[in-house]
Amino acid sequence: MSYADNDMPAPESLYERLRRLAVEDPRGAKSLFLATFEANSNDLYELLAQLRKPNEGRLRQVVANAVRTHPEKVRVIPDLVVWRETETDEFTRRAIEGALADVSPAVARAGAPPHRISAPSELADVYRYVSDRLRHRLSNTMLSALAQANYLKKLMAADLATDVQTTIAKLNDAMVSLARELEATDVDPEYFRQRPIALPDWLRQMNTRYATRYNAIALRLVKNEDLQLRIFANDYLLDTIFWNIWINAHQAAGPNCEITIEFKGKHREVELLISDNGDGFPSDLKDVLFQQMYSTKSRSRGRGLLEVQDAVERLTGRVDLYEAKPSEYRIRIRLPLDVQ
Amino acid sequence: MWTIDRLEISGGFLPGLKLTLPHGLICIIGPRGSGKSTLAEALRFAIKGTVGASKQRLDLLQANIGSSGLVTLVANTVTGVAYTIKRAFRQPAVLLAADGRTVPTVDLDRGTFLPLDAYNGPEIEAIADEALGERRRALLDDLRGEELSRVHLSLGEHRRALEANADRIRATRRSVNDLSERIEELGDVRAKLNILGPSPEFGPSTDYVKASKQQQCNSRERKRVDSVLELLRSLQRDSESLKARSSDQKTFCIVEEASSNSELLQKRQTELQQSISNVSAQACSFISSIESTLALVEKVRAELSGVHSTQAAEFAQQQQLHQAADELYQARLDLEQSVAKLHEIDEEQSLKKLELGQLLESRKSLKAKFLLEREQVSALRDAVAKELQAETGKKVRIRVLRNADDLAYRNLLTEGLKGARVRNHDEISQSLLQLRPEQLAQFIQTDDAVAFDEACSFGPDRARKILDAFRDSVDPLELEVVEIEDQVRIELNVGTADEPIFKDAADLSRGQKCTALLPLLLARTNNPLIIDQPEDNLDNHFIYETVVNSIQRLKGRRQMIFITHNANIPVLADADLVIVMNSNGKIGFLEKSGSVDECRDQIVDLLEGGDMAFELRRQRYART
Repeated sequence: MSYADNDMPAPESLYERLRRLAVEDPRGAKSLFLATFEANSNDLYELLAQLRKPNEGRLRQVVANAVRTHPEKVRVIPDLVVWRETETDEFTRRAIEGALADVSPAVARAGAPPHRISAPSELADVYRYVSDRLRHRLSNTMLSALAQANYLKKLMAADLATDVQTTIAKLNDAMVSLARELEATDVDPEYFRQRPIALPDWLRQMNTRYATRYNAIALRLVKNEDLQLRIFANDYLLDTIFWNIWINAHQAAGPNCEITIEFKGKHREVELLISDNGDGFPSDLKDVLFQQMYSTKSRSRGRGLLEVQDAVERLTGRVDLYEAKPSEYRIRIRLPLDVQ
Repeated sequence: MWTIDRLEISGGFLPGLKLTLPHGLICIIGPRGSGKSTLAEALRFAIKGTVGASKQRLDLLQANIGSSGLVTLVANTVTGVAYTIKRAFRQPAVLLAADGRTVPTVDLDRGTFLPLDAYNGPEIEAIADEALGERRRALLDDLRGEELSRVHLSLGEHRRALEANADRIRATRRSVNDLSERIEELGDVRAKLNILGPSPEFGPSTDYVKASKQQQCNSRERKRVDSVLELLRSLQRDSESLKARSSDQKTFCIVEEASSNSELLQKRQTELQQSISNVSAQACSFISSIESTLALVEKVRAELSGVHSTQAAEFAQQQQLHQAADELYQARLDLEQSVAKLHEIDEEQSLKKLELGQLLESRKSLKAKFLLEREQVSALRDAVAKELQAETGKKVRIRVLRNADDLAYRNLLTEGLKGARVRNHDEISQSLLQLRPEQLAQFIQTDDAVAFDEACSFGPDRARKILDAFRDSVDPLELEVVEIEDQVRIELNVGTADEPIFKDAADLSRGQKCTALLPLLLARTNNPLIIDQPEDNLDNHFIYETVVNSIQRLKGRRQMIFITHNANIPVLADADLVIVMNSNGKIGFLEKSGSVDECRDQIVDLLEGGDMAFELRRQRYART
């Protein structure tokens, strides 16, 4: 029976409830929004879509105040940035400024918020693939945590208080990392949907997300203005490729890491020449790099480039090394362009 | 759209002036001192009187209309009905209908019956300079007068309801606090009563009653014994008297010696003596019996006294116990009365708290209505600003910054922070300004320093101090409805079309101020518009590009009367009537009126500097 069939009033929508609470009980409105924000359901995105309309200053202020110190506020930063440009209510404008005060300009310049859509039919395959990768990621992360825990046991025996504290801190970091991994693999169908993607824009956005989780990386994209760089891919595979490359570059070049990607169009594919301000790969590794678990860092690592290769091949592309300078090899990726 | 059809002035600086005014653009030109401004002021004066007039305008009216002047104006309303207004200086206006009857019900000075837009240079500058305040808002609000007055009426009602609600909340809170104090004064009477234990039986104990009764018996016993003793002593006295009298032989002598009967009597005397002796003996015996009886009774009395003393001691003990029990009973009675009172106060306080809760609940919806209606005002202004923006073009930007005129709120924040004993008040105020007044009021009311800190990140100690200071000095019920208004931004693009740089009118030069305001004033309404020298401070490029274009576009929509020294306005905007004023030094007069072509010579002479000047300029510019 629909609500129109009897005298019962229709239940308040989240938006209506928030609007009412925003004037009657602002703290209640904040709590309700935070609960919605933390649930991260479609309700949140529907609400944010409604708040793009004009005259929504009061609710926008609720959002801005609620997320101001929230560790996950990056999810609404694109909305806040858009609102900042158009908001005419002074309280709301100040609240938005307050929420964006500690956000780097690069992050603030990020694009429009993601829109969720229904799950694609190939989801089952995707899940199988993800679970495999998830096991691998979790085991890698847990190795670090376990190693720190073992070391901690030894230190406890030696009673070295400072080192114990440092190790506890590292252990904590490893656990946090594990939590992030779990969160990152929280499967969103949109994350795996194959779709046309403008690669330079996607890379800029990914770099922004990377900066919020790790250290910022200066990204330089070199391309011919006329070059069409739309590929058919999904966020998961692109994340797998570039997140690994970014982390490798970061570890090689240190905190002032800079990455340059030069795009070259070749027939129906695009070639990405990727370099950083690290030393590159030595020539003796060029033939084995993608054929075994290789790492300059420790024995327990080295799957990153294999993951890159796997993801590139799933996009029907290729990855190899090229000689950027004599005896200095860099990564080259070729991906098919979206011919549609 | 209504229009001014005719104007007549008698007396003053422009005696006998008669004008018939067409729709569209009317330009008044003439040398300085010819009465152009007087003519414009006479039109304003006839329609709007002197309400809100500056001293400068009043002086001009005083000097040039004066007590002898009378201005008569004929207006034609939207419906085609003509009205005549007659007004003399410092006199109320007389409004006449077309049939000559006066219309006493209309107050022209309110400005709503025949609304007129009229400005001179200083007035335009004043609007431009006042970034905050009423003047700019009025430019928008006038255009939605009816809707806004409805909203303002409703806002006023809601504000009054909120004030009444606040008064009741304060009174109820006072009652709750008073009752709390009374509860505090009564102390923990329930616990005290519990300590006293179970209630004793009412009245004296059985032992006490028994002892008390015994005391009464004892008293009666003593009286009885004493009475018996008294009686025996009386008997003893009587017996001793009997004995004494019976022992006195002489008293019983019956013999008379000299009598012949003495012998006889002597015999009897002996018998009598014997008998009396018997009596005396009997009396002695009686006395002896009484004495032994007295001794017996005395003995009883002594015995009784001992028993009575013991019983009296017991009674005294019982009496003490009884007294202590009685005191305890009284104390209990007092405590029970206090508990009953406490219960009564508790109940009253519960009712008051319930009432307070209901008042606060109803305040929520009252406040919601009030705040939403205030937003409605802003939304109406937004709509007006958009409409005006569409009319004024891209050179000028008109924006409504909601809640930006927040001086009263800022003052409250400053006051509130005075006793906070924290540094960087400016920085704190900036953070607090991210909260709407009702949001800050909620923190003050709930006294939740943790949530307050979460909202503003002051740190726990500072948040506590700030909140305490606000609780001491700011009434949250007043704070949540503090007057906050919108700011109307009128901005001029001082950059280029591709890279615009918008600056508010208040921050512009005099010329730029007029440049920013004029398109808005031209496009605002369909009412007749009078502007005294709109081109003052404006460059000719802007006059041509913006003012002339706007006039051409709008002159079919409204009647515009400009006093001008700039030829571009009457000529390029194709004035429907040019009024040429002149003066002989004593009075001003109409020199000529007609179309641009008819007044071409006067326009060239007065506005272009004459034919020669115009020709020289043309040659210099090398234009044909």
